Amino acid sequence: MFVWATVIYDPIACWTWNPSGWSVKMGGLDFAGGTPVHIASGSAALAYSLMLGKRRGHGTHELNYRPHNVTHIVLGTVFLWVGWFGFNGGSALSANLRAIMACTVTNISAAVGGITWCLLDYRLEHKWSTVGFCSGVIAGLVAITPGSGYVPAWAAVIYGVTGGAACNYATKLKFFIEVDDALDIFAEHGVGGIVGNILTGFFAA
Amino acid sequence: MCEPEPDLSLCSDYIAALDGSYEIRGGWINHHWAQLAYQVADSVAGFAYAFGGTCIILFLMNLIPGLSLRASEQAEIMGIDDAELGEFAVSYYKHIPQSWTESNMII
Repeated sequence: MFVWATVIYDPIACWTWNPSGWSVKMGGLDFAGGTPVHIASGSAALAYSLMLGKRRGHGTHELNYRPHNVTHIVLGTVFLWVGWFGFNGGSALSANLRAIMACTVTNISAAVGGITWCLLDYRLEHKWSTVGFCSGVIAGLVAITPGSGYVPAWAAVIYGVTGGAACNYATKLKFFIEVDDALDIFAEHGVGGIVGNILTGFFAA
Repeated sequence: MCEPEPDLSLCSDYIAALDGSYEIRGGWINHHWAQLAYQVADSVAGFAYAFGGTCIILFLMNLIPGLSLRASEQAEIMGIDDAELGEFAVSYYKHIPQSWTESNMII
């Protein structure tokens, strides 16, 4: 973990936030960490899943890997949702209007992301899935991360819808590339981070 | 961050400027078309660097005795909680009668 943080995370954070980093000089906008936090963690998780190989019995009926405790999922989502206000709002580095805007768009995007994912899953299973809502909330939170502090409040709705939908479909990617990404980390954080970065290119103001 | 030359009306856009000092040129809604390219470049670079770098770290780690990535097959069958901690993290399903699982009620 120390090696990874030093060799992978720190250089990316440096090029994103250090005033002399190449991305900052180029003009890249990343408020709270779309690239260093989410794309880095998502692609690292994909790399780990790839190097580790599949779990024993994966893809067969021998073992059916499903979330086994919905209460824990809800609890974790609540922790993340609350913590994200510190993460995005705190990235303004002071208690100003920009921090408030960052918190506002974070909440809107999370809520819209949850609803989007829920609707997409309803289409398939005709159930209002709690697990789906929680996944969508995370997708919305991840997507708004690079844009919070740059985008107006109405854009957060678009972040939520796009982030929720993109991450939902991205969970199918692991079947195409045949990597056993048990927690859909790449779908949530990798794809969510990329979507958020790209949307920031449209809606930063 | 703005260069000093461009038209300042394009800079200091209203959300980023809420903290009183930060200036950006903004994205497509400000007709600043190149912003999308910057964002894509940053994303692709971040993805490639993190993915490639993590693969290298894991490959090297796996070569070090005692730092093997994969648990033994026996530990995987027992469950990593039982193998590493000596107790079950979620114990209830271990005690379900065999007949239930055979009748597809669980799996």
